[in-house]
Amino acid sequence: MRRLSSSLTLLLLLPVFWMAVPINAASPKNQTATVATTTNPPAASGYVGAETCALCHAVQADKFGNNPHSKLALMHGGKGVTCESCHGPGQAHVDGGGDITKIFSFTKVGTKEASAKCLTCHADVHPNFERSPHAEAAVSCTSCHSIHASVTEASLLKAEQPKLCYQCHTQIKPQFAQPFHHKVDEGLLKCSDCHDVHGTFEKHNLQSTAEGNMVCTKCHVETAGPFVYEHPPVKTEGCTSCHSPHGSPNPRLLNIGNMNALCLQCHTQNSLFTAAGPVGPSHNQAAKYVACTSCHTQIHGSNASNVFFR
Amino acid sequence: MNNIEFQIEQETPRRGVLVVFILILSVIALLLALAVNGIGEEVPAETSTSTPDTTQNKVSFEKSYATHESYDLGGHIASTYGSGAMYDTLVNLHTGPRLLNSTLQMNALPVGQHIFFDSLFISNNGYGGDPNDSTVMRASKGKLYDFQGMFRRDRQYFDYDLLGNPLITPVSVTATAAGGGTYIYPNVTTAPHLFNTVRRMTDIDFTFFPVSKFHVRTGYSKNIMQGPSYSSMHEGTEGLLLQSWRTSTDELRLGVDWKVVRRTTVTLEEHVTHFKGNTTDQLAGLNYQLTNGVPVSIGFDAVTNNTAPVCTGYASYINNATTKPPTVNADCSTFQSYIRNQATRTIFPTEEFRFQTAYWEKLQMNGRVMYTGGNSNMPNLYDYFNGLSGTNRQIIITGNANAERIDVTGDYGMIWQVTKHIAITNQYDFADWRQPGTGSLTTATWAGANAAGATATSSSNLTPINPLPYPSVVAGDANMTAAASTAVTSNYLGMKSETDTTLVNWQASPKASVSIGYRYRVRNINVTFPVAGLNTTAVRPVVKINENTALLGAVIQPNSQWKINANFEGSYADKSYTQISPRQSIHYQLRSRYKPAKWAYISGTINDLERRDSSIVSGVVHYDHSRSATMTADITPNERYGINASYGYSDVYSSTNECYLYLPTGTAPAAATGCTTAYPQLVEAYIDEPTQYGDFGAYGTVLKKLRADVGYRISSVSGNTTLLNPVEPLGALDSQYQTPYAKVAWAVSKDWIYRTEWNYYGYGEGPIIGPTAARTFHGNVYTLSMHYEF
Repeated sequence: MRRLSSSLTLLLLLPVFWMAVPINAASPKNQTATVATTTNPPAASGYVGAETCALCHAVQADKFGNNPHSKLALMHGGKGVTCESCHGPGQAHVDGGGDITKIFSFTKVGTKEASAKCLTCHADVHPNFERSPHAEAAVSCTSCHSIHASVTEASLLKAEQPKLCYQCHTQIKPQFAQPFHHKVDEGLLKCSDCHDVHGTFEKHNLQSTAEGNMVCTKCHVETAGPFVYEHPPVKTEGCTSCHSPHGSPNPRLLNIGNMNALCLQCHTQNSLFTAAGPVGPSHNQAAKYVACTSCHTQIHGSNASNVFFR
Repeated sequence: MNNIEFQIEQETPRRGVLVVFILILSVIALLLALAVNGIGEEVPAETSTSTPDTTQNKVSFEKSYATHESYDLGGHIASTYGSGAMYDTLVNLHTGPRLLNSTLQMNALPVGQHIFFDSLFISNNGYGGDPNDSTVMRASKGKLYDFQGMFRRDRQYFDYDLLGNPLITPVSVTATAAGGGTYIYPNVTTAPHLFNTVRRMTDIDFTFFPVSKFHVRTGYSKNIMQGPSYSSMHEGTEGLLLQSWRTSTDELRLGVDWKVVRRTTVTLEEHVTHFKGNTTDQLAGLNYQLTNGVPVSIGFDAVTNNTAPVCTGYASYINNATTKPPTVNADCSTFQSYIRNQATRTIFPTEEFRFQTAYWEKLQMNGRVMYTGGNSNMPNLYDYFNGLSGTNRQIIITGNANAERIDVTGDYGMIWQVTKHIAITNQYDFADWRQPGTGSLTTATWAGANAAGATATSSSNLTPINPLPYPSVVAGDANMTAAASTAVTSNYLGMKSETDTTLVNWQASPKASVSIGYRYRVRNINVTFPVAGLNTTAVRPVVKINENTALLGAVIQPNSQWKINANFEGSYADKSYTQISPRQSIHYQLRSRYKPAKWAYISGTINDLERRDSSIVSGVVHYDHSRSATMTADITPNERYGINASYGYSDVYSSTNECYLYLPTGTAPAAATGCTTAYPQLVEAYIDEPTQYGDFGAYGTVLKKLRADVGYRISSVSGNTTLLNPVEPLGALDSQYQTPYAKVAWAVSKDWIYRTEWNYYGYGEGPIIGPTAARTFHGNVYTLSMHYEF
């Protein structure tokens, strides 16, 4: 409790320190979210201003008002440029009569260069991207996002989830079509609910909860514990020991439909492993066809029973 | 239960008050910052140097925004045939009016005042009765704040009647009483663990000063799951329990991001997650009676229990089948009453520090350190059983339990662009979590004596409960005993792991790159567990597992339209913690995507994951693989027409040698090779799930104002598995699920569109259905709606 209070007190004091430090994201009083229409653009070398870009690229300029990147106009003392923040200085491009080689074009550079441009601003929220499986596979920001022709306004995606993800991850689509599946195709969940597509420290770009449990416990909170009597593989090996999280022909997304066969995979006689095997007449598989979880109901962990009865 | 909740809340008020206090202080701090910097004051609209026009400030709220709204109002007409339970489990769309969709979009115009927001977006979907509905809200105001909120509701219905079902065929038994007739045990027709719950998830996130060097982020999430569900309890027999499921989680997030220097950000975050478990259980299924008329339950699998000790000495549970309800033998295990309350409160406060820097041109680094000191408390367990279990007529278990989760996590990653063509990445991960737990449970039991005065070791459902508190004996009834014992156990589970991954990437040319890497992981798993029957715990040796993995990757781009990715990962571990945790693993992936135009692409993936944990020394024999070949193509040149198609074949297979207890009537079999007499039967338990998937869709503007969509999807599994229960069918493992659809949209006018949609849901299994009702269903859902936008 004391540690928690100290940490939170520090967090609360930080705004006070910020107030004492001048910052350049200043606030002229005439600001909106629309593209800035300055009549006297800054004299920065090589920059022409967004209104010059709009003379030829009217379609892109018209739509930019609703774009989250229009906030760029509010930066740098209200004189922030918008188009040239990403595409670089436009003077040479204009002087060249629209010479595409004289301006940064995301479609003409490699994936690393394209991503590096976006990460100039967004690296703080996506610090793992360049080490992520997507980056290693030469997937760039513009593979999924489109600043000027997005379908979804929220994240400027080229297509809605999961259709966007299925374009490359073709083997995942059939999994969500299995009889028992997480409701991704129905629109209840998105791929990004479990995976951070920009990279994480976990395998498969999986997220995790703040306390270090698997991301599954974010919704299936009753399995998070901690419990006095843990079912150890749930924590040590993970939920995928028993479940197929995308979809399965087996109920409850189990890896094996016959419950007893699933449990006996580990709870079988072997001197090198410590999972107890079921003994006694009540576990005679010839006389009692009851599923293991009919008795061992609290299989993810229990506070009251070392055999997970309650 | 109200008393229990009240007592629990008294124990945690300090935490709740502290959280609220911190939030209030946060808001005050932010308001102070706003006041100092003059942010949030009224601002004229334009950035031009022209004199602000005061008349513009008098423009109404409505005219200050460009507003766009749309509504889809209509409803479903659903007709279903076959298994309603399976339709509700997989589809659950029913007849009724719906707010299918609504959107509101407001964007600031350069006139008027915009006090609260510059842009606002709200959308709603599925309200009125669909199993899933949602609301999304986004708002922002310049550089002051960004807001995102989402509410999702999910109705979860599950009644797949094969899961956990004893699959009792209608067995006819002769009542033990003379003239008692015969009784036919009914099928268990529903899933014993059926549930009909609703999950409501709310997520809210604010970012203040999003474009400044100093951000403040705050967020809140709530997850409530509630509703009726069924469970079971073993006490002599397996009683069916009705659960009032109720769990809720509140998560608070507060973080600050500070751009310290150029391209460097440090972050401090606090997460507080509070879980409340208030699920209660009570007995269901009182479908029988005793000779004195008291209702009882004999459990949902009584037939299979017939020869077990639960009904020793009798040929069947049924004493008299001619009464309504049937009368059971008093000396057989029954449930007469059962209640369980075990309210639980868990709190996870987590502190997190992160940093990210690209200050140096050729070196990027990021890392994080997290600490959680979580606590879970079950202060008052109350578990009450009344019936007959062995010789016990009544069992009351009370107690408390407390467990902690202490988690320390540290991660670091870096990329060093050594040369223009070579980059080295490294990631180091450390995690050390420990979960000690202590429980103190007192079990009080009341035995009874047979009314006929048999031995003290026998009991009967008809024996009255000793009303005196334990430990005492009713005077004159030496056979009525009560006893209590308290067990205090301390357990521990912990794991410490370190992982280091290094990759070297070589950009051989603009069209090709290769990466090669190595990962080393070490885990130390530490467990203590309670020894059955004793108030002690046993400590197991620490299990240390070393795992080495080789990584290979390649990207080839023959031209700007075609990209091929190949990846290989092969790992070996010197141990495994469970028999199915792979010690050897190989993963191949080949992906290709050809995109000849912005509006067309074809892509495919070949994926092969092979894992095993087998050793002659250990006697473990486990193999599993997941193999798939899939492709998808999409041609959508414009909004007027387009087609798409997908096909996939996958084969998931798993095989494990299992030794288990299998003793049919007669002589006990000798132990198979590799098994012992305690677990004499050996089986190669396998599951094979070959699955084919296909879908096709096309849309087109048929006439100027008429657009049509058609499509078809099918998923077909032709699987097989070891069935330990000989009466159990394959069920969904041998099934087909088809969902064709068709849509027509007619633009009645500029703002009105009439839509009709037909969806078909066809599910079938075959050919062996099993002793329960067939799970086949067909459903047609017609959706009619009017879309209006303005």
